[in-house]
Amino acid sequence: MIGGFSVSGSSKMLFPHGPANGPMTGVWLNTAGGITGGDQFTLEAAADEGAHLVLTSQAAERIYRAMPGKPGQVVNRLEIASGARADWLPQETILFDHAALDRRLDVTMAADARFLGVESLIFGRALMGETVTQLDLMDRISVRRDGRLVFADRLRLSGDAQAALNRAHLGGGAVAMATVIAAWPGASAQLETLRAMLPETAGASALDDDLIVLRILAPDGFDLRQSLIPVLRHLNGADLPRPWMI
Amino acid sequence: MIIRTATVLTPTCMPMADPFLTLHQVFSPAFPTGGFAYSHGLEAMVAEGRVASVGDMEDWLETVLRFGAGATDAALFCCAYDAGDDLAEVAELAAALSGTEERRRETMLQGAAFAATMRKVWQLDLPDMAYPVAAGRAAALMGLPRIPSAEACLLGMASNLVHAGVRLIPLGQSDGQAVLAKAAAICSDVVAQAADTPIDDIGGFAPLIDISSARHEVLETRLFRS
Repeated sequence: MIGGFSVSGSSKMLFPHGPANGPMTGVWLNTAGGITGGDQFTLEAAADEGAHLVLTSQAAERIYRAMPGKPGQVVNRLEIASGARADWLPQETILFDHAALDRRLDVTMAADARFLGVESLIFGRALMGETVTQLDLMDRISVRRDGRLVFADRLRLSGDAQAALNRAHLGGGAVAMATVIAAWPGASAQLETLRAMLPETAGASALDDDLIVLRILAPDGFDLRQSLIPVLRHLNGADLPRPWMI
Repeated sequence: MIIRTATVLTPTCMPMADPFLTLHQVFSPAFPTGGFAYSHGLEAMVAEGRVASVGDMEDWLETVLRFGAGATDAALFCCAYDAGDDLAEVAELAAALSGTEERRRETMLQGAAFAATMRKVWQLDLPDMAYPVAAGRAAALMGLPRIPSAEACLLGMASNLVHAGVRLIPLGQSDGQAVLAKAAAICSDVVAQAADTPIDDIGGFAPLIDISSARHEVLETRLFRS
């Protein structure tokens, strides 16, 4: 069961039929085809006690060129009740040149809830020879468990993103990055298995017994998926939602 | 009867030196925070051959300062300085911001050691907090100048990291000082940019630095705690 749910902006949420005892899966669709300066999107979802909610996106999200000082704003909020599970599995966010994005993902979970989350950023469409010379990115993830902020990711990058990513000790030329969060009682037991799956440009750490954070860098979106999908599938304990596989 | 207790330090008997001298004292790498024990992932970078020369060290340090913990710590310092008694939000954020276990220990244990010394020597009402928050709050409580204190705090961090590089790569002492001299100018830049960042906009972007910290946790031999 979904305890509460709302979206705003040019969004639609589809609930495709799945197997009878499978999780409730919501597929987010941006009918505008992307996000540009001044857009505002809000998504709020709650998984009630014992529920299993999976949220994903129909396609990669495109963040288009914005006028200076007017970022697209995205607010996503998830509440996960005691004994409930929510999987936040959107496909990639593609940042175009001159994109401006101000985004937050706020997760509020009970001590014994389960959360699996991913956010993937692609800086420019490498296949089209496009680089991001101007970017204004502020991307926040907050995970609050049992009332306490247990993890805060704050990605802030302004200006010439490609020049930054080309720095040897920042991105080493990578243009694709994913952050994965696995939070549930005893999640840290997965650490060794995960580490064995990761390429050299990735790292995983257990912030406490019940929380693993993982970052993966890759030369492009295709390579990122090669590393990311097995990791997500392992943590998910099942195949990823269908839109990932199309 | 007169009882003399001249050895007990209280706020009234601890003479307040010139604030600029005090800030050099409390943000010096010699201040007992244990900062020398942390490499911020540099040890893994050296082990993987990614940092092998003076030039690499310079570039690595600039990345940390401008894009990584340098930028976020400077902004946290300034927010804590301005927060007054309302420290809970910035303290909570600073504690949650590290993406690896070792980086979390690096900032929390240094902060606790710093706060313990500030309580003991200056009787400050300073609870254990992540290092940049404890440092910013202490500077405000002591009336130390805001920007110079933030710069000195950041330079103290840079100095510890240069020392780690000198040991690990290894570098000569004068090479180390040359790297630090360049870092000093970067520290001023970073603090100028961070000084008025609202707490909600604090952030950085240094994925390889984060990744190296996670990879440090599984290095076979480790001289440093991060």
